[in-house]
Amino acid sequence: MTQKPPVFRKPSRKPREEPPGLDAFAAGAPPALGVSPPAAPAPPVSEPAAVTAPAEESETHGMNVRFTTSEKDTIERLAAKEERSQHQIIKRLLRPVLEGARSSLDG
Amino acid sequence: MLYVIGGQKGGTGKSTLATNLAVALTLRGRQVLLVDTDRQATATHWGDVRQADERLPPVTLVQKTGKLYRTLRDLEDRYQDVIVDAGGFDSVELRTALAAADALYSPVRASQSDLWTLEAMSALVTEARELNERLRAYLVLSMAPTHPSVIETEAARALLGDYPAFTLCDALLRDRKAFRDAVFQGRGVLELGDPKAAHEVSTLTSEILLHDPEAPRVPQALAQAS
Repeated sequence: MTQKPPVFRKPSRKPREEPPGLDAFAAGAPPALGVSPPAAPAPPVSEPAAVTAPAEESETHGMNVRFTTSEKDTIERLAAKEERSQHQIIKRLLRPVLEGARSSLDG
Repeated sequence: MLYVIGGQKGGTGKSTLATNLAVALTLRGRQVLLVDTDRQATATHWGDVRQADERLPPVTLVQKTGKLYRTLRDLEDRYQDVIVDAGGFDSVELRTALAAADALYSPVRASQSDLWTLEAMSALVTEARELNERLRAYLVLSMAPTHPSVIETEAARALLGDYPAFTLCDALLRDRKAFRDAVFQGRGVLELGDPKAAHEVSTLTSEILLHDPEAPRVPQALAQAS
């Protein structure tokens, strides 16, 4: 396959600086849907606060994680014992570990 | 050239136009950058599929949100063509891209609900021209019915002439399966086997290139002789 020769562009004659009034023009756009993080859902009364995401970081993301049978069994037993969902158990267990890891990474 | 593909109505074929124009210009040997500012990220998904197919000529694609003016100014010095897929709603991305752009191409369907959004889009273009007097704005009739007896297209053409902020492109894109297939395959219709869809994109691309006021012109007598 032959390499295309590089095209040397003459620099644009357009002004590089933002035109006056651009910020005001941009501000006229309505708020983007789905951009503002949604308000944190109120936790159920029976739910310990530690399980919910911190209020300042209410945007959440789904991830698929696979567990071994014994790990899954442990999660199921903990969920049954605490009468909470398996998701809540996983989040309760993981959040302190992730917080610690983040602190360590941030130095 | 810095092209913005945008509008204030979803589902009109903006990403279809952006990706097909990117491929068409690339196949003409131009250095093209596709900038996806649409949070639906259709062009980005298209680019991911395309990148995985080594048989296809690469189209460079970046995602960018927020204010775009300075970014686009930088990018257009490095590429012959920068195509911004700005999504189907009024946004900071659309506005700041219009402030920097050479041309806006806004696909519209031949439907009343699309035509109703043109009033607001027309006002936005007029406002943008106060910041960017070079901005040219065009409407592309998109997803037009394929049946030759359908007069909806001609009726829409007549109505689209009522918006002086825009110039209506002669070329149009019809509602063809090839366009939907191409998006899923990370291709342009020029890379599929549908000659009608390919002809539409090729004709529109030629028209878009001719809109460039700095494009080299073929003398009229020479054009007629050829």
